[in-house]
Order: sequence, then structure tokens, then C-alpha cells
Amino acid sequence: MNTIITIFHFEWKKAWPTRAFRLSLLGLLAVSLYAIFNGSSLIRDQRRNIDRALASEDSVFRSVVAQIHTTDTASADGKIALRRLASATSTITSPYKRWTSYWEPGSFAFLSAGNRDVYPYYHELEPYSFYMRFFKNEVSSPLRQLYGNFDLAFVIVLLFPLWIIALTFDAWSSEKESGTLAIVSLARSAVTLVTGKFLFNWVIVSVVLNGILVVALIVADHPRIIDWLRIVGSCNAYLASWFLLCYVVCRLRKTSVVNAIALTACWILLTIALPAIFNTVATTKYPVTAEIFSNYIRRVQMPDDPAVKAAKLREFFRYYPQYADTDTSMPAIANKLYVVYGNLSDRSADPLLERYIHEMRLREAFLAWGNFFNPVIMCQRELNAVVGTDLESYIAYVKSARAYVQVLKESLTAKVFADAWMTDDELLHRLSFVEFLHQTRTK
Amino acid sequence: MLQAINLTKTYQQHTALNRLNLSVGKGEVFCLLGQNGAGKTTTINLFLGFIAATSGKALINGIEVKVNDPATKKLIAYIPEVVTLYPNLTSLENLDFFSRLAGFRYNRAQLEEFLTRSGLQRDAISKRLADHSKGMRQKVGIAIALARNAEVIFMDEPTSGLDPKATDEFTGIVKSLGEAGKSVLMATHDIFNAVNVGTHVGIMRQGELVHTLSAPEISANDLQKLYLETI
Amino acid sequence: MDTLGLIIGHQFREWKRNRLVHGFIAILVVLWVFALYAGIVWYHSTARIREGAASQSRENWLGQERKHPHIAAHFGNFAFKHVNPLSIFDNGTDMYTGTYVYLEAHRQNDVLFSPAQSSSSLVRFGSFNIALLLQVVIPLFLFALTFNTVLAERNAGTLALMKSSGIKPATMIRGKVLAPLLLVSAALAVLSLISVILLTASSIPFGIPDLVKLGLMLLFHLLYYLVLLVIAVGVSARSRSLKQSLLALTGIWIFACVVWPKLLGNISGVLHPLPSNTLVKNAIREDILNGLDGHNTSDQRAKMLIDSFLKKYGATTTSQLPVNIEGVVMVEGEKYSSRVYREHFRRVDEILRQQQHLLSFAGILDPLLSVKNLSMAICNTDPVNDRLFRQAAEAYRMNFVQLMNTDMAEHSKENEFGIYKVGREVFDRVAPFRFRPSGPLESLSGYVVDLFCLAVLAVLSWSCIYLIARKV
Repeated sequence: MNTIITIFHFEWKKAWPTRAFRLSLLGLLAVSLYAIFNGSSLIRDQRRNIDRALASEDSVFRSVVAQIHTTDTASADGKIALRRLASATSTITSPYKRWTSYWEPGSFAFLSAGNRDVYPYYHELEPYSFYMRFFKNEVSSPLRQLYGNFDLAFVIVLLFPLWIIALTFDAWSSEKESGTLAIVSLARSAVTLVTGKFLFNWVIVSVVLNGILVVALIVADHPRIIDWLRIVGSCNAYLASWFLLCYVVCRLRKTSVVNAIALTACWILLTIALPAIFNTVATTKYPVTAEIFSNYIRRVQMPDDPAVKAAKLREFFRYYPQYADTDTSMPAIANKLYVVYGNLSDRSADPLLERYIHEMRLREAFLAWGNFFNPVIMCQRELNAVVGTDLESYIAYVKSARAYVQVLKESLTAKVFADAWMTDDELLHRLSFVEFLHQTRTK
Repeated sequence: MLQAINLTKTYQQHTALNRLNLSVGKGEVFCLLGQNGAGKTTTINLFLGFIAATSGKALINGIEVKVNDPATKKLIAYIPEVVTLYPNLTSLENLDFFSRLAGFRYNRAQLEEFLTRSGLQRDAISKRLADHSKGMRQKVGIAIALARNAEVIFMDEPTSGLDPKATDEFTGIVKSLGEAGKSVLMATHDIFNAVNVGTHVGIMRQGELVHTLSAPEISANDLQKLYLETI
Repeated sequence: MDTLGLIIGHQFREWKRNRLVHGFIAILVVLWVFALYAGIVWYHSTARIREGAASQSRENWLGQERKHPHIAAHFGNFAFKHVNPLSIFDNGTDMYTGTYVYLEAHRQNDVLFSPAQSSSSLVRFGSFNIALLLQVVIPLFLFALTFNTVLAERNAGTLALMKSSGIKPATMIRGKVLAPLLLVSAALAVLSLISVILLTASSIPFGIPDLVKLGLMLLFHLLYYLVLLVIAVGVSARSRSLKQSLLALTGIWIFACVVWPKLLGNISGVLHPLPSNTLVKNAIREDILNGLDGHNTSDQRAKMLIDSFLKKYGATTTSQLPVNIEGVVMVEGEKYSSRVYREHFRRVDEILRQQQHLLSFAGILDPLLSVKNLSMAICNTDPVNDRLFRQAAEAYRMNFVQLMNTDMAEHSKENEFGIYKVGREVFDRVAPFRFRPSGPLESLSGYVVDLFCLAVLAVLSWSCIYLIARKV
């Protein structure tokens, strides 16, 4: 124990006065804090955009209610306008009355933004057809997306290992090259010295890492301690794996230059080359065909052929037998037919969504398999999973949005088939996405 | 052939060489002795034109040496303390490269002749320098100097790290250079070698040439005594 | 020149026997072939999918049942992004821009499904293509070749021998810079030639303009390497030990290739923030409804248009007009809404341009940024190409929507929405969507700053050789 304390004491005395050590420490602290700031602003902007979409939705429905009360129902035009504003049919098919779904950012999403800036994270949905309006893009900068997010995950996954390499690559070789190893080995074994130096650097790196993670905990909005502990555990284990790698390389007892080259090569291989190679193979081997949606993104149009219409109605009634006794003669069924088409169109596109998700999962599974040995990818995936920015969280959101639209669609369809109008209360107190999620979870 | 007139080099507050006056004639081997920092390497660097003199002159064949001036470069050759050369090239290829750089194109036989004259065994001629001992590399360095057909040769600690046999061989080669009419200025710590190989020996202290002696007139023991008293 | 040639020739002879160099070249060839092969496979599968989807969309358009032309305009078309053969070399921002767009009456939709949206965030580790080799891997090789180039000469005593031989240090440094540049140029020339042969053999349309673009792309990278080599040789000349030189160059590489571009990309986004989709779409809707000046509602615009037509034809009711006024209102409304969209998208594009300018100017500090921008520009995989695609798609949309609206105006009567129908004789008049990337010069026209930065850095580096030589 005394030996370790002595090594710690003198390692600190050696390290602290050197400009390189202090600069790298301060530099890493600075970029970490910037990364927290940058990640937080990304998530803050996304929250603001979600709030704007929700406010926009609310404002549209409030305005509809206000217009309903101010419309002159005595005139023919007024009656038409009122139908357009308050009938269930126009509510379900109106391009302006939209319900907002959003991918709620988790408390720690700012630590590892993942693909949050690439996936559309909020949607203004039309209950009439999910697929017609679901696919969209947030206004974004392709260049910024190309260069990636400067978040804390980037600092921890990519930059911390470099610091560890810089601190430890010559732990053994520098002693050998300066001739001190021979002197030291007269009193203690060289292994003890090298192990002591590694422990010292591990303590330094751990203090900095966990200090930064404490800052992240303070910055986080309503954090769950269990999530934070998982993040702390993953990051510490990840950096420990880098210490282990450096230790193994040092124990090979090569020169400082060889160690530096070997460890830098490992870093490049694990952080740049191998992930990029596996991505390329994954893209080539597991194509994801988004083009399949093109028929369903297209505006749903009703064909003129009465036989087709009748067939569509029959199919609809199989799903919803409660409406089977509806008068199917024209013009009584005309508006309802649109709702039927929208419903059936979404249903026939659902397998495509499943296929799309399946293809994405296949690609992801290949990447996970190919990188099973790579701590860089393992750590990045784990962080994304904990903070809820991984592919599965996104898929869960997409599925929730789809289910939400179905619930909205079905509740409005009931009113359409009852030839009912929307009440003020129904227009003002709509089922929100959050309430829907809550109900689903409760069920 | 080789002359220093009040040659001085100062670095800010530090005087590395102070008013050095020396002359090395044709066929003479001048050995500079002195502690580390006494000014031996500075003297050689000034003659080589690697650094500029603060004042005074360094002359080679009466031509004043200037930094990066090719006028004196063609007259000189240099054997540094570390002659690792290019480890992936053979002795012959190393010699060929440096000869061509100096503007000489020799055929294989001529190159081999230089190498054997410098004491390298024939079987080492086509071997890579990575496989050579320091003594063998030193001999390639001498061959490079010979191939340049230089009249003045500078050597900086050429025997450091050589075993006694290699040192002895080296001494013989340097002597033969003197006999061939070359002027040699050599910085060394090896007192015995200086007496053995040199025609003149100079002892330097803190940038000044304190003693200049004729080598045949002094024994190694006397020189060692004088050296220890001087430094 | 003889001495320079001798030094370069000598360096090549040294490398000929250096297993490390053999290893580098072997790795480079293997990685290049891998990237090329993966690129070719990707090209064929993507082109097949997109061409299939495009012809399906075309069939759907032509095969739709007879209907009112405006309803046909709502049925719409799709524009699929052309798969560019040069994206095999550098796919630029193509991963992050959409691949197809639904074109319909009244609205300009988002270009959907960027390839990155079909992957997890692991996609952000990048894909292994030739640009990655050229911009990240080869610089590393060059640093590995040169980190000890002057140091080794100094340690071996050969530097002193050269200097004592009257070799000017500047000549030696020039040789040290040019030798690896020539090595990498030769390797790239051979690999590019093989690539072009393989692309042609794989039935990928690779024409003369693409060849010129590839040549320019390589030229930009050679200028980039020149800058890097001068830095590497300079560091090697100034360092006291191999360790110091290696650490300094590794640090420079990591900062220039990993940290700085990401940092700047993020800073550009913070300095020039983009509006949200909701804000843009709401503003567009607002301006279409109330006019760009806020005092000219769509109803007022329609009324003015109707009044002007009534006046022009001396009619009292719209039914007396020789054209269907509803169609005329559609035509003019489409023109107006397109103008509004254009104006709002112009504002967004302006912000994107400002972000790009920041990255372009930063190229003076990091040549990677310049070469990256120029490379993706010349390969037509940059944001400008995406913008041109969107503009071409919008021009196509306007064309077919207006064709349908004009048909409605000229051949139908008011209130005939459910009666007047057209078929293939009208749908056929809409040509299939075509988009071809810009030529070499046009592609680079928006990148003058990057060209300037790279050229200045190259000239400056060449001049720095004399400064480095003074310290040798």
C-alpha cells in the first residue's frame, strides 16, 4: 500500500507541473462542458419545436371553435362553413386539423443525441391517413448532420480514450528509455511500478469522468438516478477497457514510439475504420427500402368504379362490423367512403411499416454482431439505449404514433358513421399523444 | 589548408568559442581534446559552415567559410559521431548515394575500391547497414569521405563507442589519410588515440585553445597529466 | 533539380526495401478495392430500387383512371434522386439528404427518407468509402511515412553528411515533401485507372465529365497532401525525438480530422440556427392565405383575378367567360403558392449557406474542411446538389400541375369537377422527371472560398519549406 501511495505521490509531482498534462486536462474539461452545453441546446431546441407544434395544434382547434361560434348559420354559405368546421368528416379529413405526436427526449438525451437530429422527432398527424403525412423531415443542415453531434458521448467514447493513451502509452517504456527502470527494479518489481502508474492514471481519469457525469446529473431535467448510475457504470467500464488495452500494450515492453503507434492504430481501428467498414457492409448487405411507401404517401383517392367502392366497404365492415348496417347508397355514404379508404389504406401499408422496421432491425443486428468485440460501439449503443436515443426507442415512438392515429381515426370514424358533429369540448380537449401513451401504459 | 583566425562564436550571454587561432597544414592530423562544452564541436561546425561565426574567420584553402556557401563544401568531408547512415541500403548504395549528391559518379569497382580502402571487408560491401557494427558503419563513413576526394576531413568523436580493435583499425586509416596528404581536424576524448593518430594535439577549455602540442614530442601519460591540469 | 531528383530517387529506394511502406500500400490497395466493390454493389442495388420505384410511379401516373385534371394533379408524381456514379467515390451529405419527394398540387413536400434515417445512430461513425480513404486514412499514412523523415537523417548522421556535401537544406526538405507526394500520386493514379475500368466493366455509366470530375477531385486531394506533408516534415525537423514528432502529428491529425470539423459543424448550427418545420410551414400557410405582404388574402387575390377576367372579356358572370375561371384561379393560385414556398425555402437555404460559409472560411485553418467541401461538390453529393434536385423537382411539379390546371381552365366548365375527366391523352403530356447533376465548373462555382483557402495553404506551405530549412 505504501508503495502505491509513494507512486501516486511522485506521479502527481511529475504530471502536474507538465504543461501537456495540465493543458490536456483543462482541454478535456472544457470540451466536456461544451459538449454538455451543445447537447442540451440541441434537446432544448427540439423541445421548443415540439412545444411549437403542440401550440400550433391547440391554436388551430381554438380558432375552429371560435369560428364555429361566430359563423352566421342563417346563410347557406354559413351552413357550409359550419359543416366544414364542425362535422366529424371534415375533422378527420381536414389537412389543417392535425394532432401532434412527438418523440419525448429522455432526461439524459443531451448526453448522447444519437440520431435524434436525423429522425423526425415530432409529427403533425392527420387521422384520415397516417402514412400520407407521417413521413417528413425536420428542417436540418446536412453538413451539420454529416459532422455529427458534439455531445458528451462523443467526448467520452472518442476523446477520453485518447487521453488515456496519452497518459499511459509510455508508462513502462519511458522508465526503460530514461534508465530509471533498472534503478527502480533494484527496490521494487517493474510490474509494481507500472501497475501503480496505471492505477494513478485510472484514478485521475475516473475523477474527471465522474465529475463531468455529476455535472450532467445536475444539468439533467428530472433525472432518474437508476439511469444515471447505468451511464456511470457503462462509461467507467468502457474507459477501464481502454486502460486494460493500454496496459497489455505496455506489458509487451516495446519502445514508446511503437506503443504510441500501436495504441493510436487501435484507436483508429476501433473508432473509425471498423465501424465505418461494418456500416458499409451493413448498407450493402441489408438495404432498407423506403421507396416501398411511395404508394401510401400519395394522396388517397377514391376510384369511381362502384364495384370497387362496394368491395372496399365490405372489407371495412369485416374490420368494423358495428357499421355494417350503414346506408351504403349515394350520396349518404360519399363522405364515409373517404374515411373507409383512409382506414384501409393505412391498414394495407402497416405490413410495409413492419417490413421497413424489420429491415432496419436486421441491419442493426448485423452491426451489433459485427462490432460485438468493439467496446467503442458497445458503449455508444449502451449510452443511446439508456438515454432513449437508440433505434428501438425510435421504433417504439413510430409504432406509438401509428397506434395513436388509429385510436383517433376510430373514435372519429364512430362519429362520422353516426353523422355526428364535433362538440366544443371534443375539439378543445382532444386526446393528446401523452394521454394516449399514458392510457396505453395503464392498459 | 585549414585556418582559424580569431574565430569566435557567442550565443547571447554564452561564449562557445573565444578567439580561436589554429592552422592545420597538408598531411597534418590535428586532434582537439577537451571536456564536453569546451568548444570542439562548435569549431568543427564553424568550419563546416553549419553555423555562422560571431567574429573572426574560418578559412579552408584560403577561402572563407560561410553558412550554406558551396564554395568550401567541395573541399571538405565530414564524419559525424553517429554514422548510422541508411540502414536499409547496403554499404555500396550508401556510398553511391552520397557520392552522387557530391557530384561524383563512380562505377561499382571504384565504389568497392573506396570501401576496401577504408578497411571494410569485401563481404560487407553488399550487406545492409542495419547488419553492420558501429565500426563497420564508421568505415563506410570514411569511404564516403574518401570518395568525395576531399582535401580536408573533419571528424567529431569518431572513435566513441568503438571497441579497441575497431579503434586501432580506425587509427590506421586516419594515419593513412594524413600520409595521403589530407588535412584532418578531429574532436576526441580519447587521449591515447589523439597521441597515436595526430600530428598535433590541441587542448580546449571553455571555448579557448589553451595548449597546442606536437604529438610526436609528447607521451600519452604526459598529455593526460597536462590535460587534467588544464581542465 | 538533379540533386532534388537524387534525393527523391533515394527516398523511393529506401521505401522499396521498407516493409512498413509495402504494408501501407498493400493496406491502401485492399481498402480501396473494398470501398470500390462495396460502392459498386451499393450503386447497383440503389439504382435498381430507385429506377424501379420511379418507373412504378410513372406507370401509376399514366395508368390512373380517367379523372378531373386537378384531381390528377392531386394524385401527383414522385421525383426520385438520381444515383450518381461519383457517389461511389464520395457520398458527401447524401446520407443526410432525402431520396425522393411526392409532388402534388398546392404544396411542396419534404424530400423524404435520407439513408441515415433508415439506420441507428451507428451510421454517424461514417461509411467506408474512397473519400474516407483519401481524407482520413492516406493523411495518416503520409504522417507515418514522414514523422521521422528529418529526425532519422539527423539521428543517423546523414543530415550532417548532406549538409557538409553542400546540399541546400531547402532542396532536401523539398525532396522530403515531394517524394511521398509522388508516391501517393502514383498510387492514386493507378488505383483511379483501375477504378474507372472496373466501373465501366460493371456497366456503371461513367462518362468524360465524370472522368474530369474524378481528376479534379484527386488534384484537390494532392494539394491537401502537400499542405499535410509540409506540416509533417516541419514537425519532424523541429522535434527533438521521434516520440515528440509522433505525438505532435497524431495530435494534429486527430484535431484536424475528428475534433475540429465536428466542433465547427456544431458551432455553425448554433451561430446560424434553422427554424423548425412547424414554423416554416405555418408561415407558408399564413403567407398563402394572407399574401406575402399580409394584406392580400387568397380570396381577395381570386376576386381581383375574376374581376380582371370579367373586365377583359366584357362579361358579367364567370359562366360567360371563354375559359373555366376555376381553372384560371387554380393556375394563378399555384403560381402564388409556389412563389411563397420559394421565398421561405430561399430564407432557409440562406441560413444553410451561412453555415456552409463558416465551414468554408475555417478551411484556412484546417485544409480538410476545404478538401471535403470541394470533393463532395465535384462529386455532386453536396448540399448544393440536394438544393438543385429540390429546385428541379419543384420545376417539374409546377409544370405538371399547371398543365393539368390549364387543361381544366381551357377545356372544362365551372362546377364540372365531377363531370369533366381526362385520361392518358393528357397524362402522357407530362414527361418523366429527369435530373442530371451539374458539370465540373458549375459544381465548383459555389466553392470559391474553399478553392481559395486550399490554394493559399498550398502556396503558403511551399513557401514554408524555406522556413523549415532554416531550422535544419
